[in-house]
Amino acid sequence: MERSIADQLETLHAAAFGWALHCCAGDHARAEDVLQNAYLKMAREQTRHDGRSTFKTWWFGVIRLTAHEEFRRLRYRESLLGRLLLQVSGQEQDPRPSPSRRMELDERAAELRRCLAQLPARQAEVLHLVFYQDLTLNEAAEVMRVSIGSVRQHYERGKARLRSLLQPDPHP
Amino acid sequence: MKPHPDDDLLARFEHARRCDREDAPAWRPELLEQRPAARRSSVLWSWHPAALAAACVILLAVFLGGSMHDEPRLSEALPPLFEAPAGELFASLEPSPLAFEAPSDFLLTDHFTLSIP
Repeated sequence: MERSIADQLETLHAAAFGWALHCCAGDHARAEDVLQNAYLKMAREQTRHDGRSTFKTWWFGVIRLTAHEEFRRLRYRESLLGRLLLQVSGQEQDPRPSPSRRMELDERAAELRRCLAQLPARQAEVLHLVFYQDLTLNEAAEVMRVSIGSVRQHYERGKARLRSLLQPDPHP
Repeated sequence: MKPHPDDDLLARFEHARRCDREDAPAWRPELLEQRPAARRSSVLWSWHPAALAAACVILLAVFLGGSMHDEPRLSEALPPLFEAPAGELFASLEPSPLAFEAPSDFLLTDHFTLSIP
């Protein structure tokens, strides 16, 4: 792999983890798996940046797609047949965070995540990309693979809905 | 300075970002050094057409071998069960209805019997 690409991936690593975490509804273990699988795709050259968009928006698109693949796999594992096979193979594990981990989670960040989870997925995605990742609406549209008009609509509706869900911030 | 209309949301997301960055796993450059594994898997995939062709040949051979082997017809393979000559069953017990010949006017009563002078 080219040195410049590896450098860009390293620079984006923390932001990419935050995006993976959002795509996995705050599940740290799954977000780590998703990010690792995305890196493997890059290493195996299963995906390549063709220069039509910025590296960041392209890379976030790859992570989003990988998270969706992981979600489909997880849905199968949670199905009756999947659970049966996991029990037989003895690989069953609890995906929920441990109680100690839950205690560690910051309450304000957890509240934001809870409220985002109540929004339609597209609205939550665009709010995360704009406010958390500092992307423009055009860049968010590229990551989400929807039109700019659609993104603008999700953005406005999402903001209004999120404000109605959040408690007034005691630490503005 | 005029406050940004979305400052409240920006502050929330900024706080969440700081929390997540503390929890983010360390950067592992070795994840990007996976090319040998990819090559192994591509070698594995290159065997698939050959394996598929071999399986097709075997299936074809089994199918053709099975169809060329002549099996006797079922009617020929079964032993003859009823070789007795065709005839009436229980002919000795009662007269056969087939042998009865009724007269043409046997149902008519006597006064209906026409007498031609």
